[in-house]
Amino acid sequence: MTRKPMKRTTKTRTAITVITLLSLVGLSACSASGANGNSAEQRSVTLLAYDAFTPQEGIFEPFTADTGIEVKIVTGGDTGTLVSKAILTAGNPEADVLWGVDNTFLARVQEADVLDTIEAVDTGDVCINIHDDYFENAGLRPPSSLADLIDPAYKSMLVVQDPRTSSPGLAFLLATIATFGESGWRDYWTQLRTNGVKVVSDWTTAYTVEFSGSTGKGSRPLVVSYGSSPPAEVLYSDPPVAEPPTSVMESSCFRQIEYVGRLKGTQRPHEADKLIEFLLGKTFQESMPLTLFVFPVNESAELPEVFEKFAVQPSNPLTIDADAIAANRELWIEQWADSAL
Amino acid sequence: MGRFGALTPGVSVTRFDDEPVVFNRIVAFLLLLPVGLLTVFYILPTLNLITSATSASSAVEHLSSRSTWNVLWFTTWQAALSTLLTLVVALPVTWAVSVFRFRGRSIAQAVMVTPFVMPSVVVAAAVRSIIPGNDNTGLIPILIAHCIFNVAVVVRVVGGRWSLIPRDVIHAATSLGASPYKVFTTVTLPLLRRSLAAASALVFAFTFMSYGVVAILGGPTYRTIEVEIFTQAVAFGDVDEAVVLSVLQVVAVGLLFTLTSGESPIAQRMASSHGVPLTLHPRHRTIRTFLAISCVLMCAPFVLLIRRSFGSEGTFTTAGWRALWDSSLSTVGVDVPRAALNTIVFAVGCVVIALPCAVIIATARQRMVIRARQVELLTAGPVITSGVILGFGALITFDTSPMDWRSSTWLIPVMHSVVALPLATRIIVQSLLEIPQGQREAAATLGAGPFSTWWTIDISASRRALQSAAGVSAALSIGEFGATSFLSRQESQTLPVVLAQLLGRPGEIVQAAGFAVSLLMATFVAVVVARA
Repeated sequence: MTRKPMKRTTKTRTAITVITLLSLVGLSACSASGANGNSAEQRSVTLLAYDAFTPQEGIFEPFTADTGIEVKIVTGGDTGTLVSKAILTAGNPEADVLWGVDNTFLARVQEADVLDTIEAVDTGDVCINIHDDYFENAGLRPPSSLADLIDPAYKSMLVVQDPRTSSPGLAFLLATIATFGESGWRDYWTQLRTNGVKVVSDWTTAYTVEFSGSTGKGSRPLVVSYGSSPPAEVLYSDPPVAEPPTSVMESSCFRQIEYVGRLKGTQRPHEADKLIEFLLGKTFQESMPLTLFVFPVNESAELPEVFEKFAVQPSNPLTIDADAIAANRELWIEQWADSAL
Repeated sequence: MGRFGALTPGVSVTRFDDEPVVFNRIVAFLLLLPVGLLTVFYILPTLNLITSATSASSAVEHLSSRSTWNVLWFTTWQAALSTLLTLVVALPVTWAVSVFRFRGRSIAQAVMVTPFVMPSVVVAAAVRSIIPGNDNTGLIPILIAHCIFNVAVVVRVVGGRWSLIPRDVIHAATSLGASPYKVFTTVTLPLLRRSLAAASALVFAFTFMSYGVVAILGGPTYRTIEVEIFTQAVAFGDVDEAVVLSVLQVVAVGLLFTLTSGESPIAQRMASSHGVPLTLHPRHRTIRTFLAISCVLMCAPFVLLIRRSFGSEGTFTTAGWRALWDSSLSTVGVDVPRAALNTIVFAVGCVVIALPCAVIIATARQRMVIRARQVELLTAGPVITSGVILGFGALITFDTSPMDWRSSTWLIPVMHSVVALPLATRIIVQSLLEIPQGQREAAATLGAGPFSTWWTIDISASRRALQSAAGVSAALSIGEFGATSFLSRQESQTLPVVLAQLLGRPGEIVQAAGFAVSLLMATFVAVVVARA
């Protein structure tokens, strides 16, 4: 007699569970189709960039007003990871436009044929940044050349990025190869290792967490970053400062060119092309120095004052021929892993 | 003969008249479904992975590279260390929980065992929350997390055996003048040896294949072989190296499982323990205190998880929780409501695929359509090769038409069901085998056809097992991280993937949001497992 009521409640409970689950499935199916199906009403384009991509707030509004296309930005790690994922999703990319492939990763991207179009969008230099106040307080002369970095006086002061995942990391590796040559760079890295160099996976961790001269107030006063990082420190300083607390080791600078391109297999090639056109246009290019800390390629773009004063762009930076990079990159990275880790 | 043969006096009944044969044929036919599932989504990718390794021209190069062997060596010694540490920590607790009987024993046992069913990423997040500061990754957190996870294994496997040791043997030894230490080494240990070996092998295997824990707690310096496969394939883009590592992993773990196959570890794990525990003596209050402290230590990380979701020490902010719902995390590519919905939908999908397949295999096994050995082989595979191998294999296999599925959302719940199938099958097989054959014969006698018999006897009696299998499959799917991390994209992100992404970035709010997500996941799993 007491069995029947229990059976009914279990049945009701099961029924409720099943209905809830089915409606959830239905909801998700609707939202999924909604996301894909309404392209006629709200056109959108997705831009995939590295983590440190922080464009000016609202910079895409004129673009949306002009073309009716909404811009979605998705970040996914540092350049190396972006490129790997692009290769692994080739033909069915997660986004429409890829920002941030630079001259060091260009060969890989071209080999894997993941981009339909590719154009240079900005330039910069990857240099060692020095936290001047730290050295002043310690009574030490800051290092002035790459060779200084293996001096025991500067032990455990340097943080660099892993060249396998990070484009500044790879640029710095190439800078050491350009400076010490094929025969000497591996020893240099072994000595760096002995001298306590810290390797992290991306620029954000290195600069905003480990570096002592920026927001993270980390423990290391030497970091691989950009020639344009000192002006950033002035701009974002709180309380405001007139001069940057950091400076750049000019002899370590390696020229970097960044590219933007349309991913092969995108469902929205027209929108992608429009976005790329905007990214190369005067409005966006002029906003880049103060938000992305790179130099524009568009000749009609003007540079802001703080940039002209404090950004370093050496006239004779280190470079390595693009073909040489293409041919040797994999081998160099493997050798680096052996020497430096 | 016919169904009514049993009513004819003097004629013996055999089960195998016409209709069961037809039913058996239907079952055998339906068997194609799980077999097909496993062939396409497990055997194919794994074989493709292995053959890719042998055809890669750089295979030998990779095999002889220092970093490959470094990773293998690290994986091995951290697994050994984890196992040792777990045994050291878990044995006293096991003894206290399984040998004595006292009020609160079941609560203590539940506390010790629960972390095992939680997703690895949640436990990893909990361990992160107990370590202050930003630099909360490293070897020690990994070991702690492994300990927390695997105490349950020792408690279940060794504890069950321990509680069965007859008290009179112990008393005899004591009365002959043996010190407690002597009693332990000469009486208890030899009796526990097999279960200790089984538990150690299990813990070693789990920690060797550890992925979620090491992915979140290892940082850039500590990577086990599975994390290295992911890093090489996805972060560095060195697919060849990842393939070689995968083959190494399959070989290593295969060896491990064949060496320990004497005791079927999984079946053991599910065996419930029966024993006659000692009644607690007043002077054993210290044991109760010891257990209370152990329980507190076990719960502490999860309590701290709640605290950390509101900001790091010294701050209190709801920004982390709020960030889950407003779109402030979209810049890092994270959409928590979407991920939560996906997780639920995938879990449902996993159950919908895995449960019927498990029922088909179990019915076939029970009816001897296929022999036990073949069932074991059929479903043991996905247990041995991990989610990472599965996901990576799928990534490099399903990339050309007509099987260009690697970007498809539906592939993820299918992979989850492949992972869940072995466990679900075993649960249902056990339940079906426990039903006395006489019940089925009685039903046949009363005129039920094979299908009705199967439905009213087998399925009804297995209702609890079915619920349990469904709950376990759903829990596995919610926490699945290995395969999903290879296959998930923006639109198909799940909570574990989101969790790893959030905890992997610097930033106060981002970290707090990560801990909040882990609590969300723990709630989902709790709901699902409670129904099991």
